Amino acid sequence: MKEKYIYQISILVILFVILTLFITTVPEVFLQSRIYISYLSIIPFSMILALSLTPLIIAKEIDLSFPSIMAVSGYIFAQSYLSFDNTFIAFFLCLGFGFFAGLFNGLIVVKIGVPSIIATIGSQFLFRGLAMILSGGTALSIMEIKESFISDLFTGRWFGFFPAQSFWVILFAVLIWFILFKHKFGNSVLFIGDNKKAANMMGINTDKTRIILFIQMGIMSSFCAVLLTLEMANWWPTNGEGYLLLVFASIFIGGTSVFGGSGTIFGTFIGAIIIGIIESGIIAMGLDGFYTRFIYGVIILIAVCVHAKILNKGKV
Amino acid sequence: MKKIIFLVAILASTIFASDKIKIYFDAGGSVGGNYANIVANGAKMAAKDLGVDLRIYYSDWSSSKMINNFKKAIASNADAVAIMGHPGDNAFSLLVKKAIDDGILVTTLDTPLPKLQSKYTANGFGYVGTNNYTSGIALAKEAVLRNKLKKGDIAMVWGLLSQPTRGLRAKGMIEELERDGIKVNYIEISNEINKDPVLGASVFTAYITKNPKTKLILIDHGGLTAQMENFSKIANISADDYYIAGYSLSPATIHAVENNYVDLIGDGQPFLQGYLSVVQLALSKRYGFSGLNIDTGAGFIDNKNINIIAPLAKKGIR
Repeated sequence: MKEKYIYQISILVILFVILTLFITTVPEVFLQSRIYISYLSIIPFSMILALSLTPLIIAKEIDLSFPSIMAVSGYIFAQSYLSFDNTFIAFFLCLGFGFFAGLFNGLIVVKIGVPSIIATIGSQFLFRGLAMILSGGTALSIMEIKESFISDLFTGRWFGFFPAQSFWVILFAVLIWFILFKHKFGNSVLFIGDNKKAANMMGINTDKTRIILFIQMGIMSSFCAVLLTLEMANWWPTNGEGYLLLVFASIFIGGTSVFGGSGTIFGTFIGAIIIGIIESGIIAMGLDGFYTRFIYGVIILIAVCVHAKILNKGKV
Repeated sequence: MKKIIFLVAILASTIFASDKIKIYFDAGGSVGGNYANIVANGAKMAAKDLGVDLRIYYSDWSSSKMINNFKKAIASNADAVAIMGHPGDNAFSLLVKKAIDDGILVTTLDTPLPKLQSKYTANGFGYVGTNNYTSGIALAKEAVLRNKLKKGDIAMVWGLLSQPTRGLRAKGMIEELERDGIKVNYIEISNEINKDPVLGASVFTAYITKNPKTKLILIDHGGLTAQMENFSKIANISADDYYIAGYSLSPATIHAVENNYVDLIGDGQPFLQGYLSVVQLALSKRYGFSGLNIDTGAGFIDNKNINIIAPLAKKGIR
């Protein structure tokens, strides 16, 4: 069996071990539907971000500006809704910002040649600052949007209980898996991550591919901001700030190599679930919240060690 | 001609600048944080009213950043500096001494610095704000009273005990509840939830599923208090299932209070902290008044008085 399938099974086993531990120690919580509905409501936000960041990491690039893109996009969505009373205008303006923010990052990295880690550190300050300037630091409440069609479509409770955002994240996961592993664009991404010079020599337009990846990240950050704003019916200036470490942890638990050239969408999907359930499980078990980071650390280290061992390359 | 206009403009701005008192002001939290924003709004209004040249900086509630910002303010030849007292008397003592020796006025807000205040009151060192510990006690006491809790009842406190000064409020809540014989389940707010409160939804769901007999939920975090209506809906619990009390007003908190998902808000009146700190420094600088000691934390907000306060919260005043 290929190493990557062994790793994917391993990460699935880790998830089942954690869930079994939670179910056996606190059955009164983990044998009830309520906690899983809560997960289905909240995990999709970090999962969408992790899924869209995975191809960038595979292409040996990084984007640290997505929390700030979320902040500006969420503001544009909420403020446009309040100004125009039209959810579709708000939606497309929001995604439009994501497109241009991604393009901006892509051009700085690809055309000017600034390393993506440095470029996106800069742009994350720029976008966060923009959110503050636009909003004056004041939160926005859009409770009325809960009655809209777009709210039902993206974050409604389908069949009376199922959070719609879970459907959209699964759809997105399938789509991005297909593009990455069954489409020639995905081949280009993998080639670029493995060896950019060789990819260039093989005729792959590495510049265009990388810019598209940054644009994709920008648009999906904006889409995530729409989901978050619809779910909470509020926008606040610190939107997105808490997601940075969780998203990277999800990706690296999932087995995507920090050196580029390899990664799995399934792994990121499971990684996001693991990261999303840990803290509440710890609290339900009666342990102090102080343990959360410690256990995150243990799981991340186990996952990357398993990954290194299976691939036997000593690099993760 | 252009050069002359330019020189005149520079000269005029220098003259006007020299007339104005230059105050450096620490708003405490992060840029855009609800609480810090209201504190800053108060300071800005006072600066406008009094013709003060105000420079605001933010410290993300980090003690080391508060110290660094104070150092920068001293180095920038400020006339006066309003500091957040979170790092404590010892951490500030040498710096405050140097500032006052250099003729820079200093005052503290949000968290008191009792030793420095008693030493430098005559030099204009005052305090505007609430006492975190007594504020925690007051909210817990009021919530117990209104909810008619009795010995053996269960309460949850969601706070930031790990942060030395900030954590005093949660400490006050816990001690007050335990004095009344109430069993307290404490949950520490993680870093991620502290930054992005929406991430707390599954923690809240897990807690109330595990502890359905909980009667009172006290939250020492404005952002989390604001999310309680959403969290309750996600966890599929109704507005009256639990008595929930917290701090700070925001549009979402107002909605939650109006719909009875949040029952009680402790109001430290941060706008006044900003406004009065600037007033105190400006008056001390101009007329040599000594430092004032002003307690701003007295109010409770519930669904009976929310209608009066809501429009002001939307403007970032309450």
